[in-house]
Amino acid sequence: MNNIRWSDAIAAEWMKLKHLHAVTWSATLFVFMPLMLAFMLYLGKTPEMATSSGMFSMKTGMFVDYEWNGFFMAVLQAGAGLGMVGSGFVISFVFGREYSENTMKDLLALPTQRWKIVSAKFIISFMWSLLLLMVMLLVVLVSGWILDLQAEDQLVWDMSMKFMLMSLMTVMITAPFAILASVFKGIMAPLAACIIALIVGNLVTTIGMGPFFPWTIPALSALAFEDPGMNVGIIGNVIYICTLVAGIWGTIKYWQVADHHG
Amino acid sequence: MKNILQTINLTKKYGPYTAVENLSLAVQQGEIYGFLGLNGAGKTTTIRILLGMIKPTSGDVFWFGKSLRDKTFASWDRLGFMVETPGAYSNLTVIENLEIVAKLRGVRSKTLINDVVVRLRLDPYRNKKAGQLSLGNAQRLGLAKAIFHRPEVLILDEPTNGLDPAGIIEVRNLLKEMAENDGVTIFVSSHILGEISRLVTRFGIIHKGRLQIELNAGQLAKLTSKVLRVSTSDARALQLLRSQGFEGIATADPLELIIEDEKALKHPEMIARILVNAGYDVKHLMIEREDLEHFFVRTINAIDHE
Repeated sequence: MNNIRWSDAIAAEWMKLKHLHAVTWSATLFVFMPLMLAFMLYLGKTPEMATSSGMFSMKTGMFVDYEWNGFFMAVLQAGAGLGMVGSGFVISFVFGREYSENTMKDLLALPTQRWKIVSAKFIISFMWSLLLLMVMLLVVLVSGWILDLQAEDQLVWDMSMKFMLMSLMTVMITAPFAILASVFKGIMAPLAACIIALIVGNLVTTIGMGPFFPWTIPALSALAFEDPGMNVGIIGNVIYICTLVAGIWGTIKYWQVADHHG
Repeated sequence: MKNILQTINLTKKYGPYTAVENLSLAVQQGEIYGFLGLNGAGKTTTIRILLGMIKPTSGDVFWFGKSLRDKTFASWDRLGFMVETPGAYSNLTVIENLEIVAKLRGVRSKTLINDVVVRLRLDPYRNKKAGQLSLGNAQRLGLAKAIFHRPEVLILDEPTNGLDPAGIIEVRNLLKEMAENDGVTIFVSSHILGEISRLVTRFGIIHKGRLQIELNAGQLAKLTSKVLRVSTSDARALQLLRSQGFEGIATADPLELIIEDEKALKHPEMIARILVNAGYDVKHLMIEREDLEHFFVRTINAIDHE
């Protein structure tokens, strides 16, 4: 009997998150970041307070304006970076912990096929990361409402959609890090790769090569709504999809075919 | 009897290094098969091949007569296993860890989990996080994961590691009971040979990746050597026995003789009589059979010197 339900594999992955400090800490970080941005926006909106507090006056320059548009533009940029690192950590943890907890070998000779276990891990990683980014969006919306930010009709909705698109794309492009977690048997290698991708992403964007680098494409795609010059084009989309598919397919194949010593 | 497990010319190479070489063995239903070897002999590699975690370079593994290479192989639910040091999700309790394995094995019954927790004396720790368990209890949890679904075959790699003496006896009895009462076939690797010798019905010794010898308890008795151990009150006993034509006498200390002579082993009373007649006290006289540990070391040494 090798046909254990896929939903059971997903449920098993879900159960592994119980009592996990990493869930609480990651959620805290994703709440804290937009609150910080909202606070800086508030300082920018009320210059007399920013001046009196002194130390914040420089930082508030990151907003193009102090209303919804400026807030969202900053949130999109911060969300792309934080989303990338956060999702990278999540996927590294979900795959890498099986090695650090020495449980990998328990998953290999079961009536549940390996592809079901791997895909369940992807689903849970993506859900966890998306949830974090949705929490961030919720905090952004609530803070903007409290700050009484102004916008044209539809802007908040459009920006929220952009944020969601960016979130979905950012989360999914972390798939290749799962292969690294599996091959290097732990959390550190994929996490390091994620940070390197973030740094390289900043560099390639500066020199105009962003549309060809998979990990900058989500942020550029979101910004393309505002600025068509940011459009990554067909090649960028193909690069993105190929990287995503290679990440998922490669991890499943690795679990199915490689020798597992760990 | 039907073969539950059979390997044919199993070989695993890593570049120029051969971890397992032409290993062929068969384990029959209800057997407790001991798989013995030094560290690095190829035990764990073999076990991982048996469980499909490592692909053999050549050769094949058959479970219940079906090849592991067969894409339709679907007998994992009939197997339970524990490979090397057991792991567990440290943030989850004992019960939660078992519930996860139950999900992945498609087991719905909570009763099976409760039964195994009681059977392995994990009940007081059922709500304790796995990360806080002692080494012995972590080992019990590993065993619980291997047996809770009542498998037909158990594959255990060093199952008594980390257990205290009482725990070792308990696990030994549990495995014996599973084999005798439930007909579970057990394949167990260990380097604690004293422990294995009390448990297995048959064993194989693997050394340098090759299966060197396979024996059952009766065959082992024939192959293991015997000595007659005698404690006397006088150091001149050694000379006396030699003068009487007994050969192969060694001394542990001047008053303790270790005699390998065939005649002496067949008639130890003759030795007692000679010594007593010469006026030497016989304080202790006993035929000692070589244990599995010594037999193992002797076998390994013989192979190394070939």
